[in-house]
Amino acid sequence: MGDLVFSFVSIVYSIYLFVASSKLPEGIATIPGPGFFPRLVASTILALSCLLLIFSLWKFFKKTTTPFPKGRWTQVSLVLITILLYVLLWGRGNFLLNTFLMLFSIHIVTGSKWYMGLIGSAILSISVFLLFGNVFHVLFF
Amino acid sequence: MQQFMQGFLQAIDPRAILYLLVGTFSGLIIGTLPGLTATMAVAILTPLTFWLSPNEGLAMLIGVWNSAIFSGGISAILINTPGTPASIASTFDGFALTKKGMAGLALGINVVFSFIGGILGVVALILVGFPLARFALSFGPAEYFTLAIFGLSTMVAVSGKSILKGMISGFIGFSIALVGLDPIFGSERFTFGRMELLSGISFVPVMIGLFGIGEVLSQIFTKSRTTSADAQTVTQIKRVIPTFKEVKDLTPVALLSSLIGVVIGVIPGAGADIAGLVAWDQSRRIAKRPEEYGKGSLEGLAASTTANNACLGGALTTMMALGLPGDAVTAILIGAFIIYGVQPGPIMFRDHASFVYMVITLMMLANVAFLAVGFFFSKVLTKFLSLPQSFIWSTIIILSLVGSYAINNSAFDLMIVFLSGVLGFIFRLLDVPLGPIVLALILGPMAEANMRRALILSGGSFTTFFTRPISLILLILSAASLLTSVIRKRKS
Repeated sequence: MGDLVFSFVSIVYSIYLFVASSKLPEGIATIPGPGFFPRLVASTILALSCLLLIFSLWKFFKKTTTPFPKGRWTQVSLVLITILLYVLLWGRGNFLLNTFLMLFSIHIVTGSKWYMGLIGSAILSISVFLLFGNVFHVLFF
Repeated sequence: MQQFMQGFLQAIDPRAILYLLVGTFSGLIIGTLPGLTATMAVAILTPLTFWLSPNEGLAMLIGVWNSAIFSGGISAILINTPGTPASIASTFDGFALTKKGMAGLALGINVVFSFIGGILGVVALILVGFPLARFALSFGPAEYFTLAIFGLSTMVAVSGKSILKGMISGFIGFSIALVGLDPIFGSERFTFGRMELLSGISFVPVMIGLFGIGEVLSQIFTKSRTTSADAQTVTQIKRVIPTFKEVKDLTPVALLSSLIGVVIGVIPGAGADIAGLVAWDQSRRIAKRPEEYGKGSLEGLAASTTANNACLGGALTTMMALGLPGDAVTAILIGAFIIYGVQPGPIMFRDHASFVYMVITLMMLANVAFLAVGFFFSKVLTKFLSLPQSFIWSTIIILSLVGSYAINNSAFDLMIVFLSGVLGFIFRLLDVPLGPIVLALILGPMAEANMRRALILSGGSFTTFFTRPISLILLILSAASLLTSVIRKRKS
């Protein structure tokens, strides 16, 4: 099932790449232009993805395809949202507070006890702030 | 001689030694913790070294790399879980020795033979690196392009279960490398009008995302890291230092395994995990008592521990002499070299020979460093196995994010790390190998520029890649590596 998804996404991506690279200049006479290599790459991804799609469909219809892996989707999604929020809020608010909140959320989401998360996040936030801010002189907000 | 002395003196600078020891200790801890790989360690520590001078920064990274590969064997021996993939084969006999009450001796063999393997790997780098670089100086654009294809095809051939997915992964890497300015005409490509993308996507944040955030997400998904409960199975550790006779008896196996490790290391993409497994299997074939393998054989353990550290010298040989990363760690090291102002490849051996000697000396010293501390800390390091998972994960996430930002003080790089992390997680989930994407990202600009230069020189004729002998040989080798891999996978 994973191969089917991967091949489909790769086909869509290669088509986009091909269309986007078609807008780049062709080149002059025998000198290949900026669009030459991207088109070559896009065509190769497309060809390989089509092959993978055929193999995956073959497996799918023969019912030998492996099911999509099961796991802790909720936790992963929550951690991803937390990181994304942290990245989007970079430069706004306070570095120490934002970092602490992100780390504490990750601790809670991944099943850590709240007081362990509180202590761990506080120690880590301050350590990172001191290491990067004071030792490496990185400009935070 | 002057170049050698210059490089040697830079390597033995007290500050460089200090950072080497810091790197060695960090590597020992990271390598011991199952799930935290040497690649991840080097990736998240690379940004920390940009504030240091090249000799100090490389001392730290080389220290981390060598000791993480060695210390991966500690958890393999004590709790039957390899600390890094490089130590998979060490679980076969290492844990069996622990169950027999010989955990101390197993740890000692891990230290001594990792050191022997590491040193022999560096010797191979000295012997092969310079002639290989001299040979590569004669390469033209056609050869460089086919060299990139050869590197990518061997990585595809050895990584993952599906050649097709490996190839797609590689070409996706090439497509990411297209972002920025075109290498011949200088026109903008896929920048979406963003200034930050004009110089292309920096691959250090990409690698930190793929190997740092991506790995953590994958571990949260499967909750695969070893917990403190596993650490409690460790038995009483007795004698650690092996006797002279034991070392002497195991030396032939170590020599064979070193050779296997170096050869596998030289092949782009074939890392220390493969080296350990192949050496263990090959030494069993020639062993006097092959039936003991897997049941606590000292030879079996020596074979795997020697080969995985010998592999590092081999990987560094290809990386430094040809600019082709031998494994994921050397791919990250290429990024570090470039930031220090040195482009790995044959020209580095000609124009920056002192830098090459410095790296060689640092590799030697890194082996001595983990030999010196390995005996004393192997036992103590088991305490780190009790660290809560959440703490490890959050440490990796924050170091990945802040470290990537700190390289260029760029918030844009944070988004690159996040997206690469998502990509790394999805690729792991779908069983798509990450090695080819990383290699292609590095080789992409070289492959494109040289392919187009070769076509300009040949008047647009593709026959130039088939009529030049070295180029033709590299293409044949590329096809052969893919073909043999397909046949092998069909058989298995």
